[in-house]
Amino acid sequence: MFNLGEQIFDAEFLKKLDTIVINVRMMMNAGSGGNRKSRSKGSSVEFSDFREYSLGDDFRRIDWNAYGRFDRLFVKLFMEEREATVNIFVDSSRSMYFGEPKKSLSALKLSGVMAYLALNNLDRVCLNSLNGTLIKHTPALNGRGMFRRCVDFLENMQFDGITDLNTCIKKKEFKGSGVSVVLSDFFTPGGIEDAVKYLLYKKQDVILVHVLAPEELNPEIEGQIRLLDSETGEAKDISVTPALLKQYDKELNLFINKIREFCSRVGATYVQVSSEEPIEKIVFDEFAKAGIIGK
Amino acid sequence: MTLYSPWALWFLSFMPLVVLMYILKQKFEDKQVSSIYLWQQALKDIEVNTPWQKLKKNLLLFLQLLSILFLVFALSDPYLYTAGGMHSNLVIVIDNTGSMNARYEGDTRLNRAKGLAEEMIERSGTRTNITLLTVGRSPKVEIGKTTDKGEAIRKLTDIKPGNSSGNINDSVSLVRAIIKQYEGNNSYKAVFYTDSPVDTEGLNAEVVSLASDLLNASLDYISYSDDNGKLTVLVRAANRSNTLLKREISLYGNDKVLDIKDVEIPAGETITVYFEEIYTDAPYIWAELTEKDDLVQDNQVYGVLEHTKPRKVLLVSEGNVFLEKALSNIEGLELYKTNPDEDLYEGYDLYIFDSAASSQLPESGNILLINPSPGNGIIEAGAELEGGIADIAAHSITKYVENASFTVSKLKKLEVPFWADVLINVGSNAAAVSGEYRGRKTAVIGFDLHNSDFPLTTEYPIFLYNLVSYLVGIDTGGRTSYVCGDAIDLNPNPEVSEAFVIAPDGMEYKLELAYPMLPFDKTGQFGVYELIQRIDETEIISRFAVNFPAESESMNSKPNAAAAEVPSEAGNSPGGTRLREWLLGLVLLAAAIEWVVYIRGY
Repeated sequence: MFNLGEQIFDAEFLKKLDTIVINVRMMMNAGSGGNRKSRSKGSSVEFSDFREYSLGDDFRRIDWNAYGRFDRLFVKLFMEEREATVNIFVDSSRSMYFGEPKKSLSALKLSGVMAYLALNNLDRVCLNSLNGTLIKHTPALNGRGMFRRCVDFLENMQFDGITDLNTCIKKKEFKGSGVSVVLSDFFTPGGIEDAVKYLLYKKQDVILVHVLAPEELNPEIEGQIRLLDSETGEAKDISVTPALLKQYDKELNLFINKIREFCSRVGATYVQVSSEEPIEKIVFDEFAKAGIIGK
Repeated sequence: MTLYSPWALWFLSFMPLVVLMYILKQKFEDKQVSSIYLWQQALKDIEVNTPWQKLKKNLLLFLQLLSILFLVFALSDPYLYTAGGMHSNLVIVIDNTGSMNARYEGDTRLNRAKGLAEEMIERSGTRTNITLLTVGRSPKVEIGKTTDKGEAIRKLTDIKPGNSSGNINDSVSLVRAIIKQYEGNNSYKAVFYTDSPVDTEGLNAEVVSLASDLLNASLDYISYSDDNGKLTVLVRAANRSNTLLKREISLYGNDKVLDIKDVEIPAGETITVYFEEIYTDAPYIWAELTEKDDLVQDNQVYGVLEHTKPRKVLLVSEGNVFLEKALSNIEGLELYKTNPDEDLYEGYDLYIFDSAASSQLPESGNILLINPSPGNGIIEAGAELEGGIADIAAHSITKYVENASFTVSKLKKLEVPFWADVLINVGSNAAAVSGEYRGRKTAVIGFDLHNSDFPLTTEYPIFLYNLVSYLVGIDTGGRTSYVCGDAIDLNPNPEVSEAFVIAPDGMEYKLELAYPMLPFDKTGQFGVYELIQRIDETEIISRFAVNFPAESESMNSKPNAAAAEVPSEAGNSPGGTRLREWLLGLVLLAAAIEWVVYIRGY
């Protein structure tokens, strides 16, 4: 139906990806992943901390030197290196297939970048397409070789209908903690709050990437316009006046700020990007600023 | 503030139409957006979703409504009275000539003028001096310098439609004279209601033109020729409009239809219609266009038939071929001849004594003495004198004879009596006189026609015709056809004890039988007037026709006074301002703003 029908991930893009990977020092310090240090303490070779022995601890980890010095039992704590899953949710509603350039293009490219980074980081990646109340996803993919499958999945994604993000995301089963990235324009009935709360409950580090088209950020229309909703087909007659445009701008900011505030309140990360921005700029500026990646 | 043309306010009904059009014709350009979610939010705050309130925001609509408002007000021609008041002197001139009877917007021009003038008077200030003039055949002051508005309006409503021809410009000098007395305070205004152009240069005047295009045909002229009672009637009909008109002309004798003819009159042309072999004994005939048009007054034309009974003339002569020949040429005369020594019979209209001494004069009848003998009882005739070249005196009888050149060899010396006018002089002596003596028309020619070469001139028969016509009362120069407004010189017989005129509507006007007779000027109506003269028990009825002055008043549209319609720039326009120009300016301004708004797309 409405897929991009083109090679998004061409050779040039892949070359860009490599540049990004080289430049990115640490990915997703906030979350999961294989080749990264987990906040969870566990059995690993990398020392992290001491803590007093308690019943049930593996006494192989008791630091006897410390016992000699302090006459008390301490257990050495090590960083646990755990394979985590990076879940990337792409809103594939009709409204995403919009804008000049299309929001879906940005969303897919960003998904690709993140999937590539995650695979490079030896994390498992699961791509999810959200449409209607359905969720379609890849199996957890592991290893750089799987990037091809990610590309296939993304390139074949259909954009149509309405997406109820809350319902879709709540259908997702999670095995353990991880990172969840949601790419959407968030023009969704019922907002996004329930979904974010669900993800947090499932011990996910939540990253919301708000993709908006330049037409939405800065509408350039005039005269008598009948606005047609791409998803519902609903029509709205408006006479564009400077006052109306001002009001729209106010509403847009309110809309963005509402999500942003909600995210900061619950500890999720929020990035708002425009579909006309180049991917590199988004990754290095917006993502870095938001702390999603580190250079 | 008042409106000159309040009817224009009807155009205000266009305003809802424009609003409706805005509601119905709001053309929306389809535009697909990813989601109207934000727009809905934005709209929720700035407007409620009804079309009315949507309109509230529409600047273009407002500007258009404003333009219409200005335009309608401009059409209604508002007049704003500024502080300090009004013209303290108002001169209203109403054209009341025949053409003002023409149809104008469902009414007549005159009624419209009266209506407008009434408004004008009502609008005027309480201390305004109002002068009301009408212009018919001549300007007439209906009411002068009154502050009583009610009285002025009464006078105004009393104005009857006139049928006369006239020139509105005749009133301008009168208006100038009237306003001269106001020169001091310089606050006057003259308003002309007319369908003709007016030259108001230098006056603070306003011309309200009531000229309009008319669909009009007129009958201009009726005439007849009489061939032993068989009449051929000629009627001239004119088409005063710009389209071909088909009309039916009916000919009447009194009230009886004599003939009907269908005619086609091409635009702007005049045709002549003949009604042949008409027999009637009616005293007058008239023709009528059956179809009504925009000016009905000129659809009839009247003519009086002259059924003259022959006048009996007794020529007392020993034989005079010059006289007999000349008299036999005069129509309507029955000539009887007798020798001087025979007895006179009574009962003739005219007695002519040619070189005959009449011992006894007839008791009645008019008298012509030629070469009178002394002791004739009428004029003192003296010894015979040597003649000379004749000199014709100016007199109605010597009309067309003025250039006669003849000589008289011998003539009687005449003592010119008090009642007589001299017709011909020879040297210092009167050679012919005429006048009324003891109620009889009397003329005296002081020489024998054989003693002159006068009978050989071309003027001789004319002179004799004039003279005899005068004496027997054949109305030679007497017109029987006039136009409305004419002042008619009526000459009743000297013997009448009472004379009056009956107008076509039955009104009787008694004539003052005083010398000099005032002309009869109550000729406002068209139709046939009867002049009734009472001599003892007998009544002499004569008639004359008065017709609508179609030649001058049926004109379709007189050259319009468009240029004069604008009040002249006398520089002194105290009182009020006409707002039309300002409003039109505002219309332009609104249109300009609208354009800017449209281009800028607010």
